[in-house]
Amino acid sequence: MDFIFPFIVSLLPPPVVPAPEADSDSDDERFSLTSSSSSDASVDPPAFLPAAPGDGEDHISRLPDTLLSDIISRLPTKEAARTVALSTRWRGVWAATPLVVDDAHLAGDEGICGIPTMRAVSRCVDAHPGPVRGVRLTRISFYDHEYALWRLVAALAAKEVRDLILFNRPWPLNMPLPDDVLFRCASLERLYLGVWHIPKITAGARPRWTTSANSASPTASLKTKILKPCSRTARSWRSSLLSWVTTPRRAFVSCPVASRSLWSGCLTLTRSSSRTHPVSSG
Amino acid sequence: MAAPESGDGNNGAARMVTLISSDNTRFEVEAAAASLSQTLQLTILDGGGGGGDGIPLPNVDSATLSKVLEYCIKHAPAAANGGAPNATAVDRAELERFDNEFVNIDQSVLYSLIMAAHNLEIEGLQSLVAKKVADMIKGKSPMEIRRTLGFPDPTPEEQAEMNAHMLEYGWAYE
Repeated sequence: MDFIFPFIVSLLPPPVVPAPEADSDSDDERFSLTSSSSSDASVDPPAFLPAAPGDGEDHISRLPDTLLSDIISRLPTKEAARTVALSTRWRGVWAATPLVVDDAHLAGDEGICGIPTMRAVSRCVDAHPGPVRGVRLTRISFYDHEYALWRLVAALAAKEVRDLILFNRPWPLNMPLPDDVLFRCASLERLYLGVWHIPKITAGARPRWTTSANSASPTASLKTKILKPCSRTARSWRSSLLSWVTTPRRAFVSCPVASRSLWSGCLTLTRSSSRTHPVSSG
Repeated sequence: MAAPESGDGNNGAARMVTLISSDNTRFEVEAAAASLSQTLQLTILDGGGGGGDGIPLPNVDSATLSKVLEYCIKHAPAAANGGAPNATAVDRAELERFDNEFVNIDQSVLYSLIMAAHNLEIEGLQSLVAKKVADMIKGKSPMEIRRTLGFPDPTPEEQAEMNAHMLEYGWAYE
């Protein structure tokens, strides 16, 4: 069964920022700058390098914060966080740039599940004040990190995560999905889930997506599509979730695996971005 | 005429507009190329920039503007096709090759370019340069980033702060 997962993961939306290995095309190496000695892919951790004579002019500092932020938003999770060490200003810019967390950027060679990866994800989210633009976790076996997972999801909910891909690596198959994913992440615009046991949904409790502050019409249509059945029993909600996902119009990955209570598939919430275009006063 | 369909090359000679850099150099380009800039597009749709007038760009010097226009002229045909669904793979590869070469330039020019792209709202150019700068930062330690970006040598306090940060953000260096 293990060989299925890479395939499913390959059907998920691509990462916001490609993983470092993926796009290190040699073209970029040609661009030589003030220091040419830095093409080493594996950077030693706290190597306290002796200061090298720079040209004393950091032209990049004349860019406004918005542009520095644009640059940071294109960096993999780790490298983006490293810019914090540059200066007080960069620290502020990193904190002001919506966070992107991708475990492919954080995982070492330990393969699936590693404790270091889960810990890195948690620390990264803890260090950032939010908002969180996107989280893509596809390499962790959360069974080994249940407490860390619950804490993480609570933190993501508090930091207004907008895009969440939470793909659990079994085994076992009945790992419960933290309630908070469904009930507290009110700011989600898109959600992909994989290989979780969906929690019981009682009549009173409703997923929080309904209560988004600025409920534009797309949200309303979403409400009728997914959330209406949730006033019924948990089981019907669960199955409606599944059928919503498998509607051809929104044919995303959906692969119910064996057991009835296991739901493995991907639910997408695509609330169209409610960005308002300021009307020019001219 | 302020018709919105001015993007299609309607008849024969393409409409030209004149842009004036901060140091008073005049550049004459096709309206379609200049319209890659959201800011300029509005002016051009309103009929500006033609004839002897010219559109003054007080924030962009001539060296930067000529570079910006080089990008715009190259990308205008693809942009006119609306993302070019009918572009051949060859065309796309050619554009990509051009882009790679285009940002292979001195850092200070890169920053002038991204500033101009930002001010003129040329999204493609801004993201091209931002991606280039991001690539320069990738895979480096803070000290290497500092050197790459030409930061002055850190003061002892800054060095101590960097070390403290690297301990605090250990996960980013594993």
